[in-house]
Amino acid sequence: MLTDQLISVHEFCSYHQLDITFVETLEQQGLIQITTVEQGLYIQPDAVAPLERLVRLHQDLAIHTDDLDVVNELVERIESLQQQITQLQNRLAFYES
Amino acid sequence: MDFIDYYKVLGILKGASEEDIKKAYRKLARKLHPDLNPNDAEANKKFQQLNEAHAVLSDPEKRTKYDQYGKDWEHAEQARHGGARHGGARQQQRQRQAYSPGDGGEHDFSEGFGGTNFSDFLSSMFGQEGGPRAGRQEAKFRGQDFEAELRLNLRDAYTTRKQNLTVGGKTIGITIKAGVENGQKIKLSGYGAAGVNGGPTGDLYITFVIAEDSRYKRKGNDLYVKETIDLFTALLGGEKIVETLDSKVKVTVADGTQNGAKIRLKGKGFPVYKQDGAFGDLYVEWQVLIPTNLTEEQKDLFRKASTL
Repeated sequence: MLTDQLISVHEFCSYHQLDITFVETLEQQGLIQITTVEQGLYIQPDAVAPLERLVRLHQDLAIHTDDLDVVNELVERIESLQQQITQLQNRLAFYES
Repeated sequence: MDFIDYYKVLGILKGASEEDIKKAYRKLARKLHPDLNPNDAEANKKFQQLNEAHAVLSDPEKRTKYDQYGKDWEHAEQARHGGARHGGARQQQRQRQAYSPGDGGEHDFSEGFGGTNFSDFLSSMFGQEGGPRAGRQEAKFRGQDFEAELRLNLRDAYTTRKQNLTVGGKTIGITIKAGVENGQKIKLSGYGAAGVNGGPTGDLYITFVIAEDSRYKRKGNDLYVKETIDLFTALLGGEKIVETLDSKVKVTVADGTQNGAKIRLKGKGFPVYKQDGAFGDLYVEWQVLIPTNLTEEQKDLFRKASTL
């Protein structure tokens, strides 16, 4: 597999001053996927933004790594509910007009 | 720019200890953090103020100046040093701009919180502005995000179209995919205000407002339309040409069709957003027109029919 389109976990951790075990724990929790290529650990570019959100929650709010999956799940539910609200508002407008 | 009482923002008294400040900050940050409040502009604004307050009050030197000079704390200090730097209000404004929401529940972070447009890390890789969290003490600030509304009619939203927008003197060409929904928001990275001191540029958020159509009503990807048929077609059956948004369809009307009856024209509704070739359905509601001004001969025929 070509690694030039993947993001090195090592570089990511170095940039964000993280211990690599942080990213490994997230993978164990099923929050991210790590690709191993020739003993190097990588993530897909589109996984960087969601991963950075987890990093922010961890670093800004001191949320423990083990609890991040719960918080992440709740945030995803909020986003989903917000989308549903918009759709319901549109449907309501349909019936009220 | 109004003065912001940092103590009030943190909900603490002026004599609060460092520990109190830390606790108050932590408590409010958990409540207002943009990642926990996706698409909530008010929470985002309060979080910016919270960070601003925390940045000043958690620094003993800045706090002393703030306590001494109040709203002009930074300005007063500048005056003592020849007034070469920006004023306090400007500083407040810059700090408020340092944190802004993204779309789809993702948030963008700039100086102080480890993020820029789509990714702090990717931005650094591709040579854009912004930097690691280690550099959060540098006075770089992300430019302000712009919000805009784009009004379309239903027919505009039916097809993919390119549209030019002029924002802040810049003309931006955007492609609006068919099937966009009322209230849907998109982000155009880097089209907000310019950053301060080399900070990254803000983003432009466009919310689509789709006006109602006089003929068609939309529910999700389905369209609803009312069509009239005359009494004889309703009684005896027949054909009717129904206009869809992009064509005309010949529809068979069954005999004995009731007023208000609906039929579904599969795949003749609204395009599904970002799914080429996928369409919702078109529901046609028949409205039977009762004839008026009947001649005596016609009335006689109806009377006869009613007794058969």
